[in-house]
Amino acid sequence: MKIILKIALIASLFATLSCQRKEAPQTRAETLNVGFTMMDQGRYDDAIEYFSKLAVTDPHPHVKQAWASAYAGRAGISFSKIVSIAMVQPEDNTVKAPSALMQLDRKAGEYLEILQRYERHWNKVPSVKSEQINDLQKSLEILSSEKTPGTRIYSATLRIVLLKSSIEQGLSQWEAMNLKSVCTDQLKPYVNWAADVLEGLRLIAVDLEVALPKNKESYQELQNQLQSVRAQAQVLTWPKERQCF
Amino acid sequence: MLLKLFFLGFSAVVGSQVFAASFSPAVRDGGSRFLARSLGSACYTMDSLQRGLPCNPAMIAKVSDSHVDGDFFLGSNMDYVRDAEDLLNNQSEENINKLFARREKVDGEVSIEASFQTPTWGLSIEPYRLVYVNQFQNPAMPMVDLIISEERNLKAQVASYVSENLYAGLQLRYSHVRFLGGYFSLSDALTEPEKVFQARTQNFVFFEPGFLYAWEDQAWKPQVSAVLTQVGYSSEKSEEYPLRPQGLLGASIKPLVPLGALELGMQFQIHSETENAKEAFRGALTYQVGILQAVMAASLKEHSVGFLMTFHNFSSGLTYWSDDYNKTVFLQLGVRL
Repeated sequence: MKIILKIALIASLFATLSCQRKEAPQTRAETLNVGFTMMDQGRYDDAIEYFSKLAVTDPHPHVKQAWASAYAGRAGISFSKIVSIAMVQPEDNTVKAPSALMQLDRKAGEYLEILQRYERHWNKVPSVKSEQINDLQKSLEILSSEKTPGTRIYSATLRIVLLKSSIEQGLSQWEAMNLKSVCTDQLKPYVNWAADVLEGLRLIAVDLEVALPKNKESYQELQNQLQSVRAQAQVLTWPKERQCF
Repeated sequence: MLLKLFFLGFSAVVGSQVFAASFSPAVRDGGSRFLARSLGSACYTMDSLQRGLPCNPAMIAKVSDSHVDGDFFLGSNMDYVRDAEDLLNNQSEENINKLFARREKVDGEVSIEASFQTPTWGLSIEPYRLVYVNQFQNPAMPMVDLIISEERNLKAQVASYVSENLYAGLQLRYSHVRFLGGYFSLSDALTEPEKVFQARTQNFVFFEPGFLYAWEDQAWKPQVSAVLTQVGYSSEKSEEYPLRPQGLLGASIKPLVPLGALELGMQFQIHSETENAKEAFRGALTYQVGILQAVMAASLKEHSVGFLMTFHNFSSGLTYWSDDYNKTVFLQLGVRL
């Protein structure tokens, strides 16, 4: 009888303790996972709203990165697209620049060889349509407030995607003009466009300087060079009369 | 009186704290690995399936002879291993997507354990155990919830017959854990690997009492058990290895069958992650005929099925474990001297 009473006491204790309801998510991982589940379901608008509210109460870099990634996800930039850029093997370096170019400007020839070597990487960078560019820009705006190396490298990656889209847009508009001759008033917007491209490259270098501090000096030198070329472009004087070439 | 004190202490410990999710209870369990992954929590009440020290320390008082067990245990989510291998062989966008689209919490382990037990006490040493848990979230920039740890464990059990079919036992368990990981984004891992993959060390000492009331003179040999586990002290506090006490209450019977030996068990297990009473229950069955012993266990969130084959001094077992997050196959190879 005593044993039965003891077992009954034990069972009632367990039953009382087992009737505890699960508390709301407590870890950041659990909290973020609510938004990530929305993204897995394709509900990016809901995920963006969820993360934007979460960032107010918990402005941790992971929360902001999640918020930015929701915009990037809505723009169609998934992780597999980003990482496939890095996974491509560069072409072997047997491709040489034309000897005439090398004689004219050795530096330009070397740059051309580098570009040819990484052409496959560049081809793997995803392109985005104009309506998705806004999402990427919003993503970069969110990431700009964070200075952790992880957020900076993600920012740099998204800037590369944005840059490629900008370059492709500019080049396709240029080709669409199908000009037999080029005039100064037609050239001016493209000079401004080139300056914007240079500024995009400079911002990538700024991000990489924080993300990969071991190469800080190289990225600072690159920023200075880009800044210098951009400054030269900005002080270009245009002839008053329309001239065509 | 002893029982009352035990349960007052238990309710204070279990009811007071809620911890973040890290390793599942099956991974953190202090029981012998094959028992934990085949019977689950039911191993604290059922004693037909034996490998290494019993889960419930009170059961060691029922051991009839002395013996030494050596076990090698290995298991992983085979689908995950295949996807990882595919990615290593071919880094295509499709293979990247396949691996990082996984949302289940994948775990796996490998361990080597040797134990010695006599009718009232037992000792076990696990000089090496490697266990990992991994989960990916976020399709745009993966967040990784990862723990990889290397453990060294030492267990000592002592038990005695108390009175009126009651056995009481105590398990002292020491764990030395070296682990790395946490919650990070892949961009964090790329830019600050030394910070993300910084190894940390934690030491644990657990005091795990167990009770068993066994009606051995009855034909069906019913028994009930009560155990408190993962109560103890930790040298550090970490999210990855929190102290997470749990209470277990169970019962089992051995119905007479024309052929072989059958045991049915029911376990009630609660810890800080238990959401409701339904989740706390686990049923299990073992059936032995000849050299083969089949095992099945199930709760609301976990299922396991396996077998153990014993031939002379050697044993080999295979278990399939499935829960809400993961499906894993475990292999056990053992020798008994």
